[in-house]
Amino acid sequence: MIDVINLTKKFDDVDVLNGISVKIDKGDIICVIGPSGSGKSTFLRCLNCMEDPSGGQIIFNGVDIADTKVDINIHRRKMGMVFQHFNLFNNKTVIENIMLAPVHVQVKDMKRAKRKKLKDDPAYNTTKAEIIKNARENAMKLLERIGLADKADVYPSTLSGGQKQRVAIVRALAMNPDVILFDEPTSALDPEMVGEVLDLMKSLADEGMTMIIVTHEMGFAREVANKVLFIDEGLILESGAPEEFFSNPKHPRLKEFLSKVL
Amino acid sequence: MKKLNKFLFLALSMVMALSLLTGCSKDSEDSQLTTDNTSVSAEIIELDLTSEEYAFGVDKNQPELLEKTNTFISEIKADGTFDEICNNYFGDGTPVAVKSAVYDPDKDQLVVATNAAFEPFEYMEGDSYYGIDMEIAARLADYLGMELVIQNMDFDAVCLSVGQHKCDIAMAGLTVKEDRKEYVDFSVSYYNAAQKLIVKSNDTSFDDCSSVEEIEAIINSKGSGIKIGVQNGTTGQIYCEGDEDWGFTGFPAETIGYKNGSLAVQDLLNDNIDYVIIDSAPATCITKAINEMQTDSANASFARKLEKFKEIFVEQDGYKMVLRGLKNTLLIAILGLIIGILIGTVIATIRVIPKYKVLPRILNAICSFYVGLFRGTPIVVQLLVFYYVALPILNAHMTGVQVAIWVFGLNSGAYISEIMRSGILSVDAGQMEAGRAVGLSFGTTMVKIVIPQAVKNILPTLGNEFIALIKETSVVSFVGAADLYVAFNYIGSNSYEFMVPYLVMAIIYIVLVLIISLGIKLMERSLRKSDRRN
Repeated sequence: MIDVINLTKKFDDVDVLNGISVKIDKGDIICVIGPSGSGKSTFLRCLNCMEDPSGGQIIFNGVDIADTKVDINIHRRKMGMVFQHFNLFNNKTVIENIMLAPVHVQVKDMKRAKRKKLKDDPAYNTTKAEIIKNARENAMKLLERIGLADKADVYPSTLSGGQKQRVAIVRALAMNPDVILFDEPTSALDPEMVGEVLDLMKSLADEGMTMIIVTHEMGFAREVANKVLFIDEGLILESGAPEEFFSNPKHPRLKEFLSKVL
Repeated sequence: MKKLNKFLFLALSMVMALSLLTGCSKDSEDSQLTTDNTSVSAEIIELDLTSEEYAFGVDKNQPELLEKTNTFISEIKADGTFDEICNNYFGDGTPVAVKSAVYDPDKDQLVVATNAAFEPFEYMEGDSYYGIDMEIAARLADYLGMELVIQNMDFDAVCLSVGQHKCDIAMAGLTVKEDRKEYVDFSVSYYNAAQKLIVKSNDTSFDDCSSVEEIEAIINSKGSGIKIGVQNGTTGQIYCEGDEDWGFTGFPAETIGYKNGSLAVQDLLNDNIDYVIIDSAPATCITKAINEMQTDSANASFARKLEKFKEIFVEQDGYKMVLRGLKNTLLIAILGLIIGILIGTVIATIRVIPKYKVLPRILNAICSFYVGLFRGTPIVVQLLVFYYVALPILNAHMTGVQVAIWVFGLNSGAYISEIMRSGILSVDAGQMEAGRAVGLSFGTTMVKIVIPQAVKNILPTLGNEFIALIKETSVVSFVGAADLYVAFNYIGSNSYEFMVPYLVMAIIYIVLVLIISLGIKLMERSLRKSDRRN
């Protein structure tokens, strides 16, 4: 589904990614680990072009989204992202956070369909009220799933970190993405809140969601991932199934890294 | 407690305003002139320092027009019409607007050449002409049964255009001079413009003078240490400063220009200047009115001033002018602020766009230029350039208020853009990233997520900007817009008394600002609901 070919990234004169190639299939749960400054977060942020790649290709659903001529906004709809610091919209309530993007893109599609008189397009026959109603129902379902239905109308500033991150995850889910990128989703959380977020991610994995996760949670990686990547100095030094990866590391850098964190 | 604070603040402001207006009289430098201020009045020295005959210049090819004009002048002088017109400018009358018809050679029109920059004889406000000459012109046209066309030109061109038969008559406060007779036939003189010296009644220096030379000698003997008040742009000013063309040698004394004669006389009585030299007609009205105010006790004087203010404010519809002024002030400040916020937001957004493409760089350069231009020039200069340079070049017509709204909008746009930029930068970059990550465009994320949070952060600063705008509007009189300041100035010059009008004006401004502060506080509170800080 995502084919990363020889991806490089430079910040001014500093080489951060030095040619990363990896193939990600539908349903893959990929954990990316590595020391800090290794380029793992940059790799993740390049996947949805939050950082424009300096070179290489990212073929997503058959389109090279690293090409600057591509309308990246269209492809990002299908690539959810969850941040270390949650980044919920502070000026929107919890349910508005979840509804904002689906309503906006659907209304945009509807207007385009009506303007171009695309009668066969399903967007042609909807109305704004209908879109909002559906988005609200969907958002409520998602909130019920994470047990925060009663928080629908409060502002994010009143939520705990774990609650915020779970809302951020369902905000990404509301767009029905093909893949969700997680950028250290539990690093900013108090220890007792890590569990609730990881549980939610596990249940997504069980449903077959494709996920790419930059994480320091080795236990989680071992349990949930079907492939683990070790990145250092902008290169994938080792990759493989978690069992083999953790119990029999081959690259000396990975051995050193694991000995420090485990 | 808060209410008490507000009350104290108000009371303190009033005391400050009062002391500013009256305090100046307390510490005089010149011991010779210092006596009890209340007993001093202004006195005119009855000698004409200069004397000029004003007349109209008629086309040499139209002797019958000259004849009719002469008859007309003697008629309006005889039946009191002329005095009535003068009273509109020097006394307590109201100037009447005179409209010019469009020039059409096929019609029976009286084409008047003038230079409408010589108050009170001819000047413009908006599209209308005002002034003694202009009102006479309107009546002369009526008398002749013709349509009035006024052609406004440089003063130097006035005589020339009549000499070339392009205009029928020059009515421009024209002094009768030999060299001008080459171009025009002068009518009989209608006005004797003399300059008079006004002194304090306890100043006896000029009591024994019997000629202008003696007066000039005394003023010269005082050297450069004294101050003479004049009305800006009048013969009196030229007389004091000296001018070869006019044959005036001038005085070594410092000349202080005032907006009008009564402010000069008021300042004379406040001991800030030593003499006033102004036109004799206004001098008489002004000294009479001001002397009436100078009663023997300070309390009675204030009561009298209050009474005078009430009279003009209530009975002579002064409050209507004030309301109109208030409306214009608010209109300019509010619409200016709205335009400013729109422009400021657009510029701030452009300036935070990532700049690796060419178009954002060009836009950024344009915005930097705009901000530099409007922050680098005083608002008065912007108003004047917009009104007197830009509009004529574009051949566009706008009222003073419209010009003020646009200039204040453009000006505050430059300032608000920087305020807004700091607001946008104060919003966590993660907000923009989160918006982009769900597939929203830069613009949509900006409008829906970043700017609302930025506005909340900068609201107190925006409130400051609005308050500054309200107060700065007092310069719009430069382009003929009638704001609060103009209204109270009008009341002041009509009553020859500025203390109460200016005091009331200060209070109105304070109340306005207090109301705005309250409004901003309420808005902040409602925007804070997404914060924990409430």
